[in-house]
Amino acid sequence: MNCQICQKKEATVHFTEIIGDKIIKLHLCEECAQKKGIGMNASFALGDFLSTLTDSEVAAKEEEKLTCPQCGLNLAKFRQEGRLGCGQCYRTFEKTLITLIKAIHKNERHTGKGCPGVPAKSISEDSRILKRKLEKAVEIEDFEKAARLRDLIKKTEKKSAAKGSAKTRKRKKPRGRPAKGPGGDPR
Amino acid sequence: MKIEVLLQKETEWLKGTGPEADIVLSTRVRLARNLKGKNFTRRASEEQRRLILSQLIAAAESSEHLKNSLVVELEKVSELDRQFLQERRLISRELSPRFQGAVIVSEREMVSLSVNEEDHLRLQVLQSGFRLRECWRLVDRVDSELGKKLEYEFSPVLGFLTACPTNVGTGMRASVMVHLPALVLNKVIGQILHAVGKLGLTVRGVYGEGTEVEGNLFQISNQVTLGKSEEEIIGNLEKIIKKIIARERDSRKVLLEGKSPRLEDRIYRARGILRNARLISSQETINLLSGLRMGVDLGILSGISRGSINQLFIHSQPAHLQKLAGKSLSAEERDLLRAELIRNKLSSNGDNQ
Repeated sequence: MNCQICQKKEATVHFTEIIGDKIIKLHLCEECAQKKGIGMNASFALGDFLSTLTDSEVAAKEEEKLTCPQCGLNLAKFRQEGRLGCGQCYRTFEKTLITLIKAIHKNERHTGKGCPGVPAKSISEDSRILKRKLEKAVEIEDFEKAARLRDLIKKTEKKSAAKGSAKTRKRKKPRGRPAKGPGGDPR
Repeated sequence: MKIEVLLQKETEWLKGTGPEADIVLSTRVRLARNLKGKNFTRRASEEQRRLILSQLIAAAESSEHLKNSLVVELEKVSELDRQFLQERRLISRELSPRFQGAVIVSEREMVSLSVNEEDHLRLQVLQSGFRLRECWRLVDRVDSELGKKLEYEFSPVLGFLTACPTNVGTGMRASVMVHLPALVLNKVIGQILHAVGKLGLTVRGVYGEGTEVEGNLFQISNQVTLGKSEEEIIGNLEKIIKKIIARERDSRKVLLEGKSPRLEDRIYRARGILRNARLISSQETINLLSGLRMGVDLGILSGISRGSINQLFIHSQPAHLQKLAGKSLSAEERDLLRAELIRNKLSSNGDNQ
């Protein structure tokens, strides 16, 4: 097998990482591995491997044919350049990027500084994450977990609907429920 | 204002002062941000990039820390100027005139804002010594100031959205430049860097990604930007670097107690060559300055300040020499001028033992 970076020399350094249900494999020659600092650091800067990593093993098949409506990027170009084109790309290629982001950060949720004018987290985002978990649970036939998640999603969606109407009601009746809105302290 | 003013004014991060200054040269914290609804730099049109630039210059003017700053548009300066800014760590190699790159630099170069790098904004605070928390507080404050004027690309789930997924979330990279000659000399550095890598940190040379480690100077930074708050990331980095500092101190103590002739030889040899050479390359200079610095930090040499060694370290770089000379120089002319500059500096310091 040839090295995935230079495509020329025999790959002698092999690296495997399991992220979620996907296995990512890297096969590199001694020279490219050293250039990327793998010899010295067992866990290397994954960012350097974006182009290698976003191959078909990570990419979600249904996103392979998509083009970002805002900037026109597709996954093939992203693989080439290793950079996204705009904020919208994160939504267009959501599935592929979540896998990649988990591989890089071992996490998928921002908990740091908030942005002025943007609520820290919205309930609809919460239910989106729960829905993704539900899909996975069904996939691996863990129906007990799936049932729990389904109930949880119902609950959050009810809450979010209630809050939405509470807000509209609030205009008429200022003494509504205490303001425990979704936009708390961003940290 | 012209770029040359930077040569005359005191540069904060070169002072050689601050906590743990015998081991830590400088601390840097930078934040990556993009403007909402606009394509990231490389996929934006030239017109969009110009618009972003003027928007950011206006926002900087309204910031307490960035008003009256030096604004350098790379399209309007020479390649030499660009290299000069890189040597001063004000811009990265990725900032390019092709993409209307620019940098806004505050007084004493403590706060700077790169425009149209791979992200629209890269805000950095650079200070001397080991000051992670201080740097974070300052960069946080300036970021919030700018955030009042600008609308950032932000997702409640993923945080600040960046061109490269390795920066998403906080968009923060905090890095500390450490001088570890004793750990290198005792040959334990490999083991330590290996452990550092396992703890989710990255080690690089002085000038960032892809650069080599020279002069026993290592830049240690966080790799993960998502899932931890800025304070947590800073706290984690601080904890690990404190341990590295302690290990370096121990190694230095062992070297000193061992009264190894090899150590003294290395230090005096470094000073000897630096004081007498007539031609010297920048690479040799960096390595010898590391030896000189070790001599000062161990108390073996006196009369040379850390600040002046730091300054030599920057002034002996190719673009700085040419700026100091006021003209472009060939490699050999540079080696000649570099040797002269170093001789003058080291003899005027009154260290005549």
